[in-house]
Amino acid sequence: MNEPVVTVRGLIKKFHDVAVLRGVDLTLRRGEVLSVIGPSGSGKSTLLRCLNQLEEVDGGEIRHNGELLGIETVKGKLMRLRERDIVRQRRAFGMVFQHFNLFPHMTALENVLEGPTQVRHMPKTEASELARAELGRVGLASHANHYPAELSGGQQQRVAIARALALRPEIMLFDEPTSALDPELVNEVLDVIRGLAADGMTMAIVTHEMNLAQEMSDTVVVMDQGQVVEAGAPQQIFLAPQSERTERFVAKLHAAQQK
Amino acid sequence: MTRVTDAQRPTLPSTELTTPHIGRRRLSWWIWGIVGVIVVAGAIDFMVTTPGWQWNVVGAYIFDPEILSGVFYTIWLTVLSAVCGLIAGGVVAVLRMSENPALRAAGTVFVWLMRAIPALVVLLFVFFLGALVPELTLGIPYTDVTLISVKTNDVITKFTAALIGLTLIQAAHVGEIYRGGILSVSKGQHEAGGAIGMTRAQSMRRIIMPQAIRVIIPPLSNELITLFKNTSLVSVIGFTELLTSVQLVYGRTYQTIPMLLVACLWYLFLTSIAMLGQSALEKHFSRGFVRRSKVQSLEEPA
Repeated sequence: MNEPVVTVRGLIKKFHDVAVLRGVDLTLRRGEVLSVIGPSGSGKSTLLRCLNQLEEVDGGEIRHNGELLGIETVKGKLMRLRERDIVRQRRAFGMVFQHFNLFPHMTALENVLEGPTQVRHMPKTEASELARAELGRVGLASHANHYPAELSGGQQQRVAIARALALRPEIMLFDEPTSALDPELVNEVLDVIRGLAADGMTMAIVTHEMNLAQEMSDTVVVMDQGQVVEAGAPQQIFLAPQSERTERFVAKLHAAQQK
Repeated sequence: MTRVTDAQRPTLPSTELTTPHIGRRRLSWWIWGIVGVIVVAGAIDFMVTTPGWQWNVVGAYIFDPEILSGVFYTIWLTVLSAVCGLIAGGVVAVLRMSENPALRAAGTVFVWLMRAIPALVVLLFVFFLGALVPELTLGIPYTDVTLISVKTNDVITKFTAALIGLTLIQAAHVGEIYRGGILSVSKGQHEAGGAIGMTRAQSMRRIIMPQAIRVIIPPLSNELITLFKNTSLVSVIGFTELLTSVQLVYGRTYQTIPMLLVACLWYLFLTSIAMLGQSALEKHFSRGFVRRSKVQSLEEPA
């Protein structure tokens, strides 16, 4: 087995007084595709957002290649990091959102260029080459000059993936990447993710998509009420679940799929 | 359930297929049209045949040097207080959205005061500031350390009072407009900026502001046009902008109505120019939000 890239231990996240994550443990290894499934409100999206520090963590720890994320020890106390350091740590992660969150005032190409030019300060021509290559990788080289409003949902999500990839992240995070899409557009996005998996990209994917969880992932993590209920290979989770809660949730997923 | 096949549906004879479709004209359409014509004709008749307008006087004074000087000072005062107000408004918006509670409170109190006190009263207050605070001092509070000290009345002239008063009022209104525009951009845009490694400041400049500007422009233009007309309020402290210069003329000649008409014509003309500017700006910042008739597609590389 490959070495761990991200390890999460005892992670706690509260919104006001409500604990959304209640002691989550998780290991993501190099080249692993990890799917997180679970009922709505189980905390799976929050977990993902904690990994690249879009949410401030209230307790526990996340380590990336051994480095503590978001906090440092100052005189025996755990202090939150300064913005500069958080921004640096975030660069290891690429994030794809449920609602794409493309920049509407920029073309597809400008969306992909934004990170390399503004954050990485890459020279214009080099960045442009890179951005076009990434758009090509998601099959949208011909749509470089389209604004997001001129693209379908599936195309927008593919541009969003290209935008994240252009920063050469070590880990890709997907937050329900196909949930906002019309059913006939889901496959084009899944194909892109499948391609990344084949290239050996380390990925954590929150999803309701059975195909994605079952076929693509090395590990499936089931969450419920802010805790990991069960983690294991897809065969185990979907065919021989160890916990009753997993069994119930998988049965529901199957029922939904039948409809 | 019986199914209707295409063959059973009535079809238009082929000769009519190319005839364009038109909207229905209802009776009310004609009635309102006639009412409109009557109203416009009446208005023109009133403007032309009423002797009280004294169009000859309007013609004699519209380009009078005294009036043109008033027009100039109105424009000058508008431009200066617009620039100061747009900058000060930015400060107000930053205060209002600050994470620091003290700064946020300062912004809120300022906006509250400037909204509550009528513009006319603010102008009078600034103009008569010398009566309240005879000397303006810059130093360290509650010590004897003084850096600069000047007589209030040396600083507050009719012009600076007008400028300061209008800027204060502007700052509060403009600040709220900025804030509204920034809040209108979804949280997901901040997050997407953060996710590609931008700092908060970078996201603000590259992602949020360009989108907020589109929302800000219509109310901001409205505010600037209001400011332009509000310059007439400074006649109360005797600064000779357009309205004051008109008042000075009819104070001598008693030709009140034609002189007010002169002022109106200038206000109409200048506002119209401002509105043209607004629509040009709106068009400029609508990037990505309007349908383009043609999108330049590139050849897929082989």
